[in-house]
Amino acid sequence: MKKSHFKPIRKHNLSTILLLLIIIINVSNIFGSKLKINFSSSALYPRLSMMDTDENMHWRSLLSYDQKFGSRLGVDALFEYGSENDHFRNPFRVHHLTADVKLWNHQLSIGRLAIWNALQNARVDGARLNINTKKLGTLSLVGGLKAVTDFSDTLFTDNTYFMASWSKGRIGKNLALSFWIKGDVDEINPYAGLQFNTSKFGVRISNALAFDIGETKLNYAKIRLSKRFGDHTVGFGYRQKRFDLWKQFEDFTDLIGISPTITLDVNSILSDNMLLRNQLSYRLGENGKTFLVSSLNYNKLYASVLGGFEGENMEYGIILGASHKLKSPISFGGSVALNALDHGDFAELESSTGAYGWIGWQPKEFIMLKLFGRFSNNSYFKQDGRGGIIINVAF
Amino acid sequence: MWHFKIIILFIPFLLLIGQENNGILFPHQLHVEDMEMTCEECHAGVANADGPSWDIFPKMDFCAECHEDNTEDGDCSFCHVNSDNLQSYNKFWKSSGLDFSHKKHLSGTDDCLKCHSYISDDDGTNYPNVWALSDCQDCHAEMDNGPISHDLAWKQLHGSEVNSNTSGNCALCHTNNSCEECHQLQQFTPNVHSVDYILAHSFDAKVGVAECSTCHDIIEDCYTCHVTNQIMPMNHNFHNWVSAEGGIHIGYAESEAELCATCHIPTEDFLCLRCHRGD
Repeated sequence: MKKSHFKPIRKHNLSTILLLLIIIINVSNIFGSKLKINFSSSALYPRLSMMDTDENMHWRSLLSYDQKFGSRLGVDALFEYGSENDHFRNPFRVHHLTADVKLWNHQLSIGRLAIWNALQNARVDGARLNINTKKLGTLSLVGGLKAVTDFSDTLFTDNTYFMASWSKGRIGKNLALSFWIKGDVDEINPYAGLQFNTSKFGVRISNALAFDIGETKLNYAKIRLSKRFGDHTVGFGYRQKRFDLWKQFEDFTDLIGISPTITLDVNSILSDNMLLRNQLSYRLGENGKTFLVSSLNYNKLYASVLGGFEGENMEYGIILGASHKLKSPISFGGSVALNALDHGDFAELESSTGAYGWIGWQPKEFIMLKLFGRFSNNSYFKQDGRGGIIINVAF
Repeated sequence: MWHFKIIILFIPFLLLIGQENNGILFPHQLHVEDMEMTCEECHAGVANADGPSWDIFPKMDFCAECHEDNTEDGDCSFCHVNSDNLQSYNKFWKSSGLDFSHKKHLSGTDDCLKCHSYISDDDGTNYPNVWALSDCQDCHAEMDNGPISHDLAWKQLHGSEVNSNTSGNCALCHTNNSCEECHQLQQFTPNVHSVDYILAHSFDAKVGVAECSTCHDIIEDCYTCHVTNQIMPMNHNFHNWVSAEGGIHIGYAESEAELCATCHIPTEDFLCLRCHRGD
C-alpha cells in the first residue's frame, strides 16, 4: 500500500482562532463595505463511522466571509472549526482565504486559493494574477504550494504548484491553453492542457485534453457533443482518464491501454416544472460496463432509477425524494433510496436501504434551523440511525 | 490507432481556429448616432426573439433599399468582408452557441443600449463588440434569478458544465470559491449524492456519466476513505479474485489499471509482490 501522506498534526488553539476572527470582523466594520457573512453550524449523532472511535459526535461550524474594501480590494474566506474525522484531522480548517486586488482590468489574488477547472482541482497557498485584455484574452498565472489535503498543517507543504493558462472567447465559444507543474522536491511533474468550446451546425462541442510532458503521453481526454432540439438536449461524450499505464508487476517495459468511457444522454424539459433525464454510459474493454440512470423531477418531487451491468455483476436501485414548504415558516422533506448489488454466483445479493428526513424552520429570511434524521441499513456503518441539527445564518 | 484518436480529438480544435472572419462589417455609429435610426428598423422582431433561432438580422434586400447604388456594379465588398465567401450576420449569430433571450431581457428593460452601449463606437472596421461580461454582471449579480442557462435542469447539470467549460463562463458571476462555499454550507444534506450512495458509488466511479473528479481527488477521497476505513473494493471479496491460475483480478487489472493504481504501487505493495516478483 501507499505510504500515508498524513503529516504530524499541528492543532490550533481555539482562543487564537476566535481572536483572529474578532480582529477580522472588527477591521471589516471599520474599513469595509458590502459585507456578506454566512454562518452554518451543525451536529450529527452518532457520527458516520465504520470503525470504533473515541468521538461519537460529529460537529462542524463554517463561516463564509466576503467583503469589499473600496472598489479595488476584496477579501473572501471560508473557515471551518469542527470535530476531527477520517478526512480532516485538524479541527481548524481554512478552505480558502484570499485577498483580491483589482488593478484596472487585472486581478491579483493572494492567500489560499481554490482552483477548479476541467483539468485539475487544487487548493494552493500562493498567488494568482489574472491579466485581462479585450483583444488578447486572459492570462492567468498561479504559483505556490499545494495545501495539505487533511489540513493537518495549514501553513506549509513541500508540494510546489505552478500554472500558467491563457484563455480567450465568450460563452459557448472559447479556447484555453494551460501549463502546470505539480510535485515535491523529489519529483516535478509538468503537464499541458487544452480546452475549448465551440459550435458547428448547431452542435455544441466541448473538449478538454491534458498532456503529461514528463512521460510524453496524453494523460486525460474528454469530448462532448450536444445538440438542442427545442426542450430536448441530446449529448454524446467520450472520456478517457489516462491513456496508458506501465503494465504492473510483470514487465515494466510494456504499456497497457486504459479503457475509455462513452456516454449518451437525453435531457428533456417536459414542462415548466418537469425534467426528465436519461444517461447511459459504457466503458469499453474486455470487462465492458454499462451504467444507466433515469430520473424525473416534478416540482419538488424526485424519482430516479439506476442500473449497472458488469459481466455477471449487476447493480440496480431506486431513489424517491420530495420536499414541501408550508405557508408558515415550516418546510419539510425527505428521500428514500434502495440499492442492491448482485454478484451472480460469486457472492450473495447485497442490498442496502437509506432514508433521510428533515424539517426546517425559517422564522426570518436570514436564519434557518433544520432538524434531520438519517437511516442506513447496510453492512458498512456500525450504527444505522443518526440525527442532527443544522443552523444557517446569513448576514 | 493511437494517432487516430489524437486526430479525432483535435478535429473540433481545427474547426475552431479554421474559421475565417467572413461576416459583415456595419458601422453602427453612422446608422445609430448620425442617421438616428432606431434598433428595430434593422432588427425587426428583436423584442420577441426568444433564442438564437430567431431571425433578428436584416436581409440584404433591406440594406439595398438605401444602398442599391453601392452594390449595383456587383461589388459585394461594400458590406461583406470576404467577397468569395459571402456570409450573413445570422449565420454568425446562430453558430455562436449563445442561448440568450432578447424577449425576456427586453421585457425587463426596453433600453437596448443597456447591454449594447459599445455599438455607438462601432465604425465598421471590426466586428462590433456588442456586449461585455460586466453588462451581464450588472444585473445578474443583484438578481435572484440566474441566466437562462440556469433552467430546470441546471441543478443536476451544473457540475459537468463546470467540468467542461473554460473558466470564463462561470466567472461571469462566480469565483473559484463559489463551488465549495455552496457545497460546504450544505453540511449533511445529501444534495449531491443519494442517502444510500455508499453502495452505489462503485459503478458511478468506474463508468458513471458524471465525472467524479469534478469535485473529488483520487488520493484525497478514494484512497483516504478506503485505506483509513480498511475497506477493500467489493470485487476483491470474490472467491476467485485470486486463484492458482491467476483469478479474475487479471481482467480487471488489464482494463482498469488506473483504478488498481489508486492503492497499489507495484514496487511498494508487499501483498502483490508475493506473487508478482517482477522477474
